[in-house]
Amino acid sequence: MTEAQAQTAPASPQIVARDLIKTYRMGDSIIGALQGINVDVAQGEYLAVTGHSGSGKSTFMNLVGALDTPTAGSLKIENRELSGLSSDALAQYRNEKIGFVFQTFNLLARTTALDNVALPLLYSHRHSKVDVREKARECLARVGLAARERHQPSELSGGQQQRVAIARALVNDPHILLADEPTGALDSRTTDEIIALFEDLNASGITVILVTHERDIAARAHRRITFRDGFMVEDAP
Amino acid sequence: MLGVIIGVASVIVMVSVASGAGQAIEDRIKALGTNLLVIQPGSYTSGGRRAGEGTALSLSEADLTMIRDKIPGVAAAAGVISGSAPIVFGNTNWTTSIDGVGPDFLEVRNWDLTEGRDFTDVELRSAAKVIILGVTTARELFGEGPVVGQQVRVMNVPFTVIGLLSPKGQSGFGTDQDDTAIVPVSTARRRLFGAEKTVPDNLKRIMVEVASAEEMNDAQSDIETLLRQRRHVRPGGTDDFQVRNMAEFIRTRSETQNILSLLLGATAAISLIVGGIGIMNIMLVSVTERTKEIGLRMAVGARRGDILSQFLIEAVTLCLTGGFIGLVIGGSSALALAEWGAWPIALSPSLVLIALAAAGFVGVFFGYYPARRASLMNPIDALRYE
Repeated sequence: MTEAQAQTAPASPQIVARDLIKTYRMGDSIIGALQGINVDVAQGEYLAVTGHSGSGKSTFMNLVGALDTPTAGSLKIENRELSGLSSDALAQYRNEKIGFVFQTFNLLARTTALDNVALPLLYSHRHSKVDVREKARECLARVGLAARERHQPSELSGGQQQRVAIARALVNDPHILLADEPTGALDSRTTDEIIALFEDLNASGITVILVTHERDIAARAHRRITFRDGFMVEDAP
Repeated sequence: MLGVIIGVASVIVMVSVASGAGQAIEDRIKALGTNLLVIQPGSYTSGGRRAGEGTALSLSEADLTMIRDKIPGVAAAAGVISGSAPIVFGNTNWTTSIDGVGPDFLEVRNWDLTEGRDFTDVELRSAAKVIILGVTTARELFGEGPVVGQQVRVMNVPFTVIGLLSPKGQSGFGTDQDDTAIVPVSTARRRLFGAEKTVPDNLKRIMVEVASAEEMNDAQSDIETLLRQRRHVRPGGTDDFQVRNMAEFIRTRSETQNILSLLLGATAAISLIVGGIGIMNIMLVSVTERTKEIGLRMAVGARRGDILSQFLIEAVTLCLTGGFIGLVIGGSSALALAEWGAWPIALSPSLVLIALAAAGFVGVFFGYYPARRASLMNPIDALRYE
């Protein structure tokens, strides 16, 4: 997606959350992970979500990524209400619109970098076998790992593994990239490289939502929202 | 995996051993003469006095030929003239039953020779003076001495002993079947017990071997119809002959077979269930170990159906691989058992196919529960699982 396309996108925000509530039951007590969140995110934004652990920032990301379902409230992504969708429709949504990057990379062991990157394409049923390889190679090249496609995760450094994970997130041309503490397991130099990669991707038009508790990383985003105890306490550009 | 290997291997070994045993048992029951029909003349009635069994008009060689050629399901038929006479050797003698027999007699009775030879066609036709002895008769006459080639006399006719029957032991009714001797039927008719004027080629009994147990009833009623025609029995009149079968033996045999197949079924089912539960456990462990992978696959867009089929395919592959290894192990140990254990083994291609199909079925059946459990996981819980 290019910048020009991003500007012609519909005027309504890409992500619209209204009174979003998520509660967990733990034994007899009920824990409010999100207690009424209202937020709009426009197409092409670079958003950092910060807060202490347990503040609800990861829960918010999981709801946007449709890994979890809200207890109450409305969450519209590209004018589509997520809360009423079937599990298969949610799977398709995750497959086509979302790219996930996790703190612990979550690559399949004993599987080459190329096959790891190609994994989402297995579930999209839109590509032939040759296309799948081509597309996966392209994405590996985009994160600078073209030479490592035959390597398995155990043969790659942490930074390289996270790049493979980013390539996997990109392979199906997502509209939103969700990263949950993507640099939490990396040293500072690799962190800079990964964050630079996110900035490049955002520049190409993908909405990037970065969950982090590191202030300097959050500071580089175009907008920061801060959670505390399930409430959004700050929304700063 | 090991569960299915052992399961399939034990199914193969047990089924082939048991069906081998079944065959051995069937052979032995068959040796008793299960498929045997015995035809005798009935009683002769004269002026209200009814004579005993076998007193009516004798059967003949022509009856025998008709039965052999016209009745479907008849594997072999032999005519017998029997009587009892002392056999004399040197200064000892032994009175025993002597059967004059036709060409198929040994086959019909499932009888072998331990020494010597059967009658030749020429001897059977030409009333040759040759005799084959049962082991009891031979022991009484010769003790431990040689049998074949000795000269004996029966009713002052000299005979050469040409063979010794294999021991058969007691019949189902307690008589010693080895206390006997056989001579060609023409010899018995012409030289020993005499021909009848009314029936020139008379036979006292006809023994019929039916090819299979299923055809017994049909063959019996066909023979009865044929003989009624040949002996001019009026419709509704009393038969002047008897066809006897070994109903008791037949019942024993089918009961034995039922018990055996029940045993086989139970053995196979239990082994497969045990193997299947093993597979289910392995799959449950695998699903638990790979919870995070399942979560990841769901995060990148796998539907419930994708996860379900992935684990089902893995279970079936596991079972088929295990089934194949089990087949090789089971098959080779069954063959080894046959080679060194001298145990009859029946290993059929259909058994191999059934074993593999059963392994695949076990994979689907016992793989479904773990696969469904995997597919119903909540993506976020699966991803967070440590």
